[in-house]
Amino acid sequence: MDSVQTTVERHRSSVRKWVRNRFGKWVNRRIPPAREVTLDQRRIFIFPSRTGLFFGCSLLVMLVAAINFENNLSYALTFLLATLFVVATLHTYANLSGLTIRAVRAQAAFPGQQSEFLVMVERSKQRDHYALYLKWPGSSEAMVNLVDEDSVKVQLHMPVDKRGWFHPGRLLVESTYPLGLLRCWTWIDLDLYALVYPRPLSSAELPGLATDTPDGAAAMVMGNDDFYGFRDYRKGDSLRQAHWKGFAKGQALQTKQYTAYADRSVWLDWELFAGMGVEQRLSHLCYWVLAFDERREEYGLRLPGVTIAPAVGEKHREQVLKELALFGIGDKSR
Amino acid sequence: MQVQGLVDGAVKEVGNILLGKEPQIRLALCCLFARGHLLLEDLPGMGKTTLSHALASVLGLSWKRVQFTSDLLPADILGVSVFDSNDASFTFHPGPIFTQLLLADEINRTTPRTQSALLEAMAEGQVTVEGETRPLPQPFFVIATQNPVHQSGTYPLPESQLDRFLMRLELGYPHPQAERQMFERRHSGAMEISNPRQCIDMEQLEMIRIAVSKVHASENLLDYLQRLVAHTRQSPEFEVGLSPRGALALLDCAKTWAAMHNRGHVVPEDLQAVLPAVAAHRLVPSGDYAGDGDALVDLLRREVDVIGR
Amino acid sequence: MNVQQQVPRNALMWIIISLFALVAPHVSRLPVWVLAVYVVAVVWRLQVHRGRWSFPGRWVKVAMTVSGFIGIYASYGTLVGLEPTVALLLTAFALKFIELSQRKDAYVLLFLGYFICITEFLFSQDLLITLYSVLNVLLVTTALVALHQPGQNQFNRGTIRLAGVMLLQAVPLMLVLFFVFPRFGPLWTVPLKSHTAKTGMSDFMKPGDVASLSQSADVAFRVKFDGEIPEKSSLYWRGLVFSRLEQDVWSGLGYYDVPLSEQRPEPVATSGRPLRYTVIMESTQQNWLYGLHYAEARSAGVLQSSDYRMVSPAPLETEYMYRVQSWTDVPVELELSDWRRRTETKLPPQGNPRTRKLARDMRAQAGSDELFVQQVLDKFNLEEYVYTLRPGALSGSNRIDQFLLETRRGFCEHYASAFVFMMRAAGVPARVVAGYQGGEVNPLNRTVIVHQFDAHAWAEVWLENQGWVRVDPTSAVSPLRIQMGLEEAMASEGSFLAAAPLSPLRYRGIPLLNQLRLRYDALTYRWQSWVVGFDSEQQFDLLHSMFGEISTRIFATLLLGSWALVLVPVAISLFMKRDTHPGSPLDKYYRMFCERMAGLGLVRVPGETPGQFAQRTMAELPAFGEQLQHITGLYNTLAYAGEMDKAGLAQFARAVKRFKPNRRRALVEEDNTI
Repeated sequence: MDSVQTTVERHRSSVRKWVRNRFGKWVNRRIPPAREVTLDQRRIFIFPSRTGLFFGCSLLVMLVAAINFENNLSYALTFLLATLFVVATLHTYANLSGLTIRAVRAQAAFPGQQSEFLVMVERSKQRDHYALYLKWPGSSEAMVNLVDEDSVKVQLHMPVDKRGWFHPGRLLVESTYPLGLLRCWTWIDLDLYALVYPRPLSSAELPGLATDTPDGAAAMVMGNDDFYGFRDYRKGDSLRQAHWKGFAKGQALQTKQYTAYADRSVWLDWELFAGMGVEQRLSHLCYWVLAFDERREEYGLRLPGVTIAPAVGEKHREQVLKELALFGIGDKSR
Repeated sequence: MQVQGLVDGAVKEVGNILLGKEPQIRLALCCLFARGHLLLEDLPGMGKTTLSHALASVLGLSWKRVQFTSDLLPADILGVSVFDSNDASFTFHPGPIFTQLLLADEINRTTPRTQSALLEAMAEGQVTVEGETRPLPQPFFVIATQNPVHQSGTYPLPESQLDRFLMRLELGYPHPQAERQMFERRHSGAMEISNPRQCIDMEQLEMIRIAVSKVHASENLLDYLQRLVAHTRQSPEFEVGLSPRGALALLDCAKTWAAMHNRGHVVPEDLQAVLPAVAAHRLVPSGDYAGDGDALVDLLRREVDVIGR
Repeated sequence: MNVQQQVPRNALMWIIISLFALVAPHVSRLPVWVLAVYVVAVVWRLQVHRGRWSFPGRWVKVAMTVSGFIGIYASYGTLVGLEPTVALLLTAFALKFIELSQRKDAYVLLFLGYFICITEFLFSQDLLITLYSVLNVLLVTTALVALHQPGQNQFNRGTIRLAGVMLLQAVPLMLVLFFVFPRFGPLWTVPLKSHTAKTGMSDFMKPGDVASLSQSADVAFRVKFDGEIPEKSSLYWRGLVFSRLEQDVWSGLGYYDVPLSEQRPEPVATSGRPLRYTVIMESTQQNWLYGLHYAEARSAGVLQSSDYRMVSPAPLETEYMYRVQSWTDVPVELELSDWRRRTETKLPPQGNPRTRKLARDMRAQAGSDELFVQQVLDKFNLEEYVYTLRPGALSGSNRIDQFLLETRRGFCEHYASAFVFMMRAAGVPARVVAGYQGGEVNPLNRTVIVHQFDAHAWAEVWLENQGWVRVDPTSAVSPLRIQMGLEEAMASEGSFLAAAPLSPLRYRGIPLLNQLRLRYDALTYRWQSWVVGFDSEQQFDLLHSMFGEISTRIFATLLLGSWALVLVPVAISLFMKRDTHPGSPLDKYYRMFCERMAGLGLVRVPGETPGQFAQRTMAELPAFGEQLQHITGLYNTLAYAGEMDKAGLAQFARAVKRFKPNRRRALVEEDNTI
């Protein structure tokens, strides 16, 4: 008995999978992935919503009341609402039709974080669009109007996990405006990928720090980044760095000393973490990229087949992280 | 007539020294008339210092220059209180910032701490040293220069700070003809033209300001401005659109530009003329867009319709 | 909360408005406490909205629901019947509103709102009520639209406009369905309205009843004759027949009072052309119908009683339309059965001895029944009998004696009652007939409006070889009543509609008001005959006259065709819709100019200013240089120099309209200039 049930269950689930597969293929054919998608009749599906079915039931009750009371105005009102349902089909459809959904960008993120996906909804005609509902499976949801603006940016957040390119799947664009009786929707595949960096993994010390300076130490030179200490005032020292407050208290004139890390170039090298797995190496490198970036120190990256010269700054960091994220992964393959 | 005459005179005077750069000189003047600070971004030796010095002379402003280096401290710009052991009191030694026109040379060479000290002073028009607030002279302009090429040991200004500069200009290589003229001058020893003479005095500067304030910006023009601004906020090419401050800057400069051409109202051409200088450094292209701020401005100028719908 | 489930503030406000609008027409039928529930509900919900109070807890809701039921039961004494049901519905509507927090609650609420609109029609299908209900439907639909406009916290005229547009687009299809949808009979019996205070005839009559009815100016029914309207004095709208007198109360025979053999009346041999007419009755909550004797209904479903009355099988809950044909001068029931003769001559064993004696004496003197009738009428006519709405009270057990021989003041029911009593006392079969007499002719649409004050009672006497003959003793006392109507008959007394000072009928003397009243009445008639009274017969006639023989194919074509006819234009208007925010006229004209230039192959790019465009095109088309400069100059002045005025705009428009470049001419002129 039990086994029969599981067989049936398995059979059913395989049928469901087959149906879903077929549907997926069909949708793919009908709505191929693109950078921007303009919604037209090939893409828009429309069907009475749950509310619409409930409304239909209410209409049936009204019709029965009209018949039983032989009340012509009740008939009239029932028919008016029934045809309102029909007219609403067109309005609901029009609310979605002609919209252009454009993939803007996806924010890079670390595993476990939420990546921000930015899409733009544009209208082609000056018609007001209301209550456009957008959501990826598993993402946050958004409800937007297009009334005073011609386009609106929509931010959707979605957790990402694996290093590499993350594709959020098909975006659901849905509307039940104006009456909620009909649900008009489409699934669009946007050519939008979020970059997922390796998970940063701290290591206490950067083993065998590879720098340009021969001794390899993190040389400290006098600069003005951080207050470091005092030393006696010597002739030639800047008056502006003199410790006047101490002098006023009767101490000997002293000079304030500041430190800064010297212009040095750290190479974050694949070989620094020899003996570890690929992902672990990347994670450690990632951690150090962030560490150096925070200190605004220059760093370069050496991976097998990739070399990025030492530099500092946001763009540099992104470039380095991107290389780490995509190491060993073909471009935009999943 | 008067304003245009004055401006033309000043442009000519500066142009005598910086050859073949009239459009940039005009924009720089526009920036100063609109009470804004100017950022010059170019390679060394392109005449950045020459331009700022000439501008100061033409406007008759007191002028100081600070070379920004990595060990420059905020106190080196703002000033410091020095203890005088004779009368046992602190006396304030004002820094170079206490001038009417400050040339902050190679601002990206110094640390962010020093940069922000200058930028704060620029924004507030006053300096606070050791708890005491001292006003800066009026008018107060900063012309900062920055080397666009990323070199090691530099700290490029963050985008948020760039917004404090009303305009950003690039001088660029001189026109071959102008360059030839330069060579000839040097050859004939005529290069040593001393400072250009003052063309615009304080009173006239004030008059220009009044003229600017009277310039009319029509509904149609404001619509166009709004379309421009909206485009930067909506198009996918833009990561960061124009801030309201940026939009106001555009309007101010366009009005000044109109006044400089003796017009009582702003026309779209005015907006387009100042657009690259005012907007390019405030716009950030989105990750997928290949171009930079200037490309964005170009896009903006081409795609946004001048005529409303 | 799910973003899709939020209820925008805008929608909340529309719901509150619809809430009150929906309950308003029901107010007169509701106990006061239900209205209090509405106020409490709205206050509570608004306080929730402002964050002051919280939604009611589960037990509070249960308690409110239970007390709602108890309250309805206490107020109506029952939970069945239409009024308690509707009151219950309305109470539930208010209570549901308190707990409105999500969009799905709002759906329930608003669909309930549509249903409440329908319940209103069960009470009245009046034209004004219908118009008001249209407003209600619009409000509910607007609330439904507002529910789907997230982030709209202010009233937006667009919301109600869209709702209105959608309803208007739905109307044509609604009409098709309305006229085409088959009308069945009721599927099961439905709760009826409680018989409260409806003015109209009742199924028994005691002295004073008709007189009190005469105080009402309500319309009883309207009649439309197919041909000429007969003399007003011959319009006796027969509705009830009272054959039984018990304790001074006349009443009709009940269904079980008539033996089975007498149930079916003897067929009447009709001859000659009948009068054909259509009657639309207001709701009476009674079964009987009115017609001119002898009347046969042409509408299906109308029954005939043993005393030749028309009867509807169900009480008239709403307006009811039926068609009748009448032969006013055919003899009815020439042969009287024994049972019938016994019934129609029966009197109470005791009472009114003087009248009985008088009747017997007069009958003996007269010699024949016919002459006896005439003598009794003469007595009413010649002696000092007064026709009055204020007859004064009669008391004691011999009231007919008292009226006939002492007070001699009475209204129609006194005379009819006394007359029939005398006939029966003398052994002549006779009975009292109640109905309406006369009516007002509306000159606008030639309908006869019969009001409650036209209520009348008269008598029928059975005579050998003549059958039942109508005798109206009132006409002997006051011929004016029959010829002119009650108002004239009571002119000297001033008692006409004394109790209804505001009735528009009292102001018939003012032409403008009277015109308005008649116009509205004509409208009501049209409304009732086309919408309220539309039934399967009319439906058949209509479809038949339009499409001939009705087949399934024609039916399907009709439906599909009409739907296509309506939906296609709607779709086109939706999808071809141009800008809803029109730009300034100035820019519109400049764009027109640009279009003309584009016709020459000179297309302005978006970022090109008018000045730049003019420069470029002038280089291409020097022949038009002056015009281009003129137009551009005007545009720049108007658009940017702050000199926008009407005259300037008109000048600009003229310049653009006059500018009709033509490529060939442009080139030719170019050649010439070269």
